[in-house]
Amino acid sequence: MLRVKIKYRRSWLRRIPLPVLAMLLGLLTGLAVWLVLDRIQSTALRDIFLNDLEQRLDDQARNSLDGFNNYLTRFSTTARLLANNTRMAYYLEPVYWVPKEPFEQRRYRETPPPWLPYWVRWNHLLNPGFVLLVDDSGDTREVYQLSDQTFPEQANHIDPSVLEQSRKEPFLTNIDDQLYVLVSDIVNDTSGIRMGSMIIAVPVDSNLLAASLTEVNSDNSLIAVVNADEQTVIASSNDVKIPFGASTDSLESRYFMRWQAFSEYKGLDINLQFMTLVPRLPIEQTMQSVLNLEHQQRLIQAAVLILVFTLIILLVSSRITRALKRLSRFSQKALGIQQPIQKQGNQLLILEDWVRQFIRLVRSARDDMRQQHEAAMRETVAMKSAVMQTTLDAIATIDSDGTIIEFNQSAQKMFGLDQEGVFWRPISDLFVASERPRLMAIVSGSAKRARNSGHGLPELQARRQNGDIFPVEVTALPFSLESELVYALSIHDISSRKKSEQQIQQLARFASESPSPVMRVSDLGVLLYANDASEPLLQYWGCSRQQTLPLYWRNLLDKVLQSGRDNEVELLTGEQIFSLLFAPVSEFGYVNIYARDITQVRIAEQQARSHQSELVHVCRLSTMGEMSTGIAHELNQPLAAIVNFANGCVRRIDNGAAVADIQPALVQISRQAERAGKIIKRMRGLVSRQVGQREVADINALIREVLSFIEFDIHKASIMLDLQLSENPLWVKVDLVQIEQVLMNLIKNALDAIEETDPQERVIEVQTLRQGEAVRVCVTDTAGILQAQQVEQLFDAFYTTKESGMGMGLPISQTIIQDHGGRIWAQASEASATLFCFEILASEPLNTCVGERMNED
Amino acid sequence: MKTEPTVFVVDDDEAMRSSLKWLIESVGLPVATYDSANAFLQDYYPGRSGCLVLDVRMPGISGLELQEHLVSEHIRIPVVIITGHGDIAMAVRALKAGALDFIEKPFNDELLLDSIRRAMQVDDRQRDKQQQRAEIAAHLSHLTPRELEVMKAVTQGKSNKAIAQELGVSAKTVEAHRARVMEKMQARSLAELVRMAVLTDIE
Repeated sequence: MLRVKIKYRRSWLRRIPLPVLAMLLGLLTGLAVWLVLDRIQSTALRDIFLNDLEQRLDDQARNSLDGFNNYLTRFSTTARLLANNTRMAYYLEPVYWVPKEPFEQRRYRETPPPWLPYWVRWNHLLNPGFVLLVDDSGDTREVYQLSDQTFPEQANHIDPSVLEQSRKEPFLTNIDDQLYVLVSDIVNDTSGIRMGSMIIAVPVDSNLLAASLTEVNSDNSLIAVVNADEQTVIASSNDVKIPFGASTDSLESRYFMRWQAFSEYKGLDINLQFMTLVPRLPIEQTMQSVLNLEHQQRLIQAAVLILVFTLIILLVSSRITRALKRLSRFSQKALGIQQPIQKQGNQLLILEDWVRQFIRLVRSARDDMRQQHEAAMRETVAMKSAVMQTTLDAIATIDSDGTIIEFNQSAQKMFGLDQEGVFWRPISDLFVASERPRLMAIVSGSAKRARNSGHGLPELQARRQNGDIFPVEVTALPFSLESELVYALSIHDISSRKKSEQQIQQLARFASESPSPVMRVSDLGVLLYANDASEPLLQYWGCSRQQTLPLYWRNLLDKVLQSGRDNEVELLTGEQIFSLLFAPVSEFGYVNIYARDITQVRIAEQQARSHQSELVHVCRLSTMGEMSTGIAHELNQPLAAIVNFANGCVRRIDNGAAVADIQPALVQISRQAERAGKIIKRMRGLVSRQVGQREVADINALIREVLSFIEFDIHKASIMLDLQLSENPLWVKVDLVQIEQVLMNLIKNALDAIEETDPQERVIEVQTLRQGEAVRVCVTDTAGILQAQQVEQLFDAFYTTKESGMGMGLPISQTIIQDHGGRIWAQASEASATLFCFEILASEPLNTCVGERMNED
Repeated sequence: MKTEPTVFVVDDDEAMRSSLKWLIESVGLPVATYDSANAFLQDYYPGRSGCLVLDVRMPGISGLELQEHLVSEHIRIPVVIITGHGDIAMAVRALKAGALDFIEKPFNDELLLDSIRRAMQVDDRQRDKQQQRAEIAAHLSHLTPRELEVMKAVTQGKSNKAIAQELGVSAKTVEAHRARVMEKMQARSLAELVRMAVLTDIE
């Protein structure tokens, strides 16, 4: 039973129950957020409102100025209508205004003047102040006064430049300190004579501005014309609210104002501005009421949110508190703590105190136990060490965690460690990392095995202090020391034993690693050993290891064993060819069989043979290709002649010639056809001959045949051919095609060489003679002496002195002659002559001789 | 010394020669055959009219060599080349040396005979021109040096007055010379005289 006493910290925070704390926290946070948000939102709303207001004011100002401009433009239009009216023209017809002459001004007040149409009511426009008729020099001849104002003196003479400008557009000007808008147009009499101008003068006063404002349809805005230099009002749309002469500064507090320049009315002598005013009071009231309403709504929303949030926290925390109380009660019962649980206050913090105290207690209890355990251990150490120091194997004692407790001197030597460096280290440090699970398995398995009293000897890789890795056998024996289970590990170094084992194994693998089949068969024919490479042979024999060989091979074994000598046999298994060497070991009564796969060797030999014959064939084709030009020309001659004779005959018959006349030509035709036939026969004989058959033939006949093919070339090159053939036939048994090829090569070479010399000295000599058992053929040309170095290279493949040609002729000739058991050579003979000779064995003449047959052609 | 136009055939092959002779004679043209270039050169003299049918491949001097020899000797007999198997290089060489035609054996008889006829015409024209030239040269040889001078000046288009000034004689004298030149040259008009001057290439 643990005697536990929980210390509670007494602070005011702990006395407050969790639900209350949570609720307070929720309220405070909500309040803080509300204070910040409310300020930001109100400012933002006001900004939006003011921005909108600015926008609307700008629009308003633009509209009211447009309205004013439009209103004045309508006066212009009216002036144009009145001035061009027929009444005006008829009125002016009899009138003649003499310039610079005194005159009496006519004035109309109540009754409208006769030059205005009776329909003039100024219906949609304000009544203008005055309507004037002015002559071209600017003097006012007639005045129609519509307002009560006195007629201004200045209006008696209007400057012509003003007339000019007011005709184009409404013109603003001061007349007797009153601002007027003047619009005018030219007036003519009926005959179109220009009399002067009609001017409508409209005073710029509150009436005009108010009238123009009604066009725009604005609710409560006002407009005014302002003297820009003095910033005073000249006229406004409402005289009461904005009297004449009021300064703009005094209006600032009551109205929102927008100034615009009178850019359209040029030539103005005073600096005027157009002003739009909107009263501040109603707008600000509206804004304030909207803001207030919004503020109230936000307040209600926030209050509801905080309330709900706080309620949820309250519910959750009271739930947690209940659970914590239950947990504390359970712990108290489980641990047997007598101390009463504090019922009030923050249960979470109380539980934390509880747990912290409990952990401290457990830790101190564990320390006590370890001290007891160590004391017990020490008692056994002395006893064990005596035993352990004396053994040769390394002995280590470890506890159940695998920590080394004891380590004898042999072990220190084995692992190269000192005593201090080992203790309290895990035993697994002494082994290769990958072996650790196995080591642990041995140690834990030892507990079970101890009961069965069986000890295995598993092998592990251990590691010395210097990093060397060596194999060991490990035995683990568990035993109890006091109440604790420890293990005694006996570690036996087996590296020297392993080494010798490995050497033996490697030697044994010699035979199995061999890529060639190696087998051992007993004197009874039983297959004792066969390596992997022997598999094809075993399949061929149809026997496997430890079975007997087929009878034929058993007999062979007997023979070999009796003779005691090696015997080599070739064996074809279908796909492969093997060479088997039977080596008898008589004293032990068995035979070793060493086999070799010689398939590739045989294939290579065969390929070499076929390559050679292909090469000869290719060479022959190429020579024949070279010769074909000559043969074609030769064949062409009789054919062309036949064509000519035949055509000649046809023409003569057409001309009515007698049969007797054309007979000689017909004879010629048949003779030429025969000639062509002979050429073709000769060619066919050359092409169709079989390769590879040896026949007995006269070498002289062969030479004559070859020469018949080259005759044309010799003739063409103006070469003198000197034939010195033996009188008697010289019989040889040869491959006719191949020997003809050799002869052709030699003569063609001579021909090619000689073409570079003076035509007068072109001589080729062909000589045959019997030389003992052999027949010799020599071809001599007068194409200059070969250099010694050239003679050496002559028979190398691809050596050529010609521009065309493969340089294969002589090497192939050499191959052929050697194949026939003869020899071929080149030498420089006398001055400027080269000799090519070959010798082959002579043979007995046969009854059916190829040579004779050829001589018939 | 005009001879009958003859077709000269040079070919080393006997059958070829006799067959060509047979063929060409069938259209009534006289034929002379030679077995080598040397044989032809020994027999032929430049005055003989006709054309030459020449085989390319021959021992000794080949057809092309003979053709080139004739060109170098300024013998302008038209040449028709025949060959067993021609190649482009050979044809170019022959045509460059002035061969009229290049025909491969065995040939269409029409083709050959056409070529020969054309060659005969060419020869004929050449000879005509040659004869004219010889006649004019004969006339020219009768002129005195002073008359030759006057003729050169006249054919260069100079007026009598200019010629008189140049030669330092009176216009009348020039007129007299001129009349004699026309007479001696047998020229009916000044234009004819100019043509003669151009043909003989006098300066």
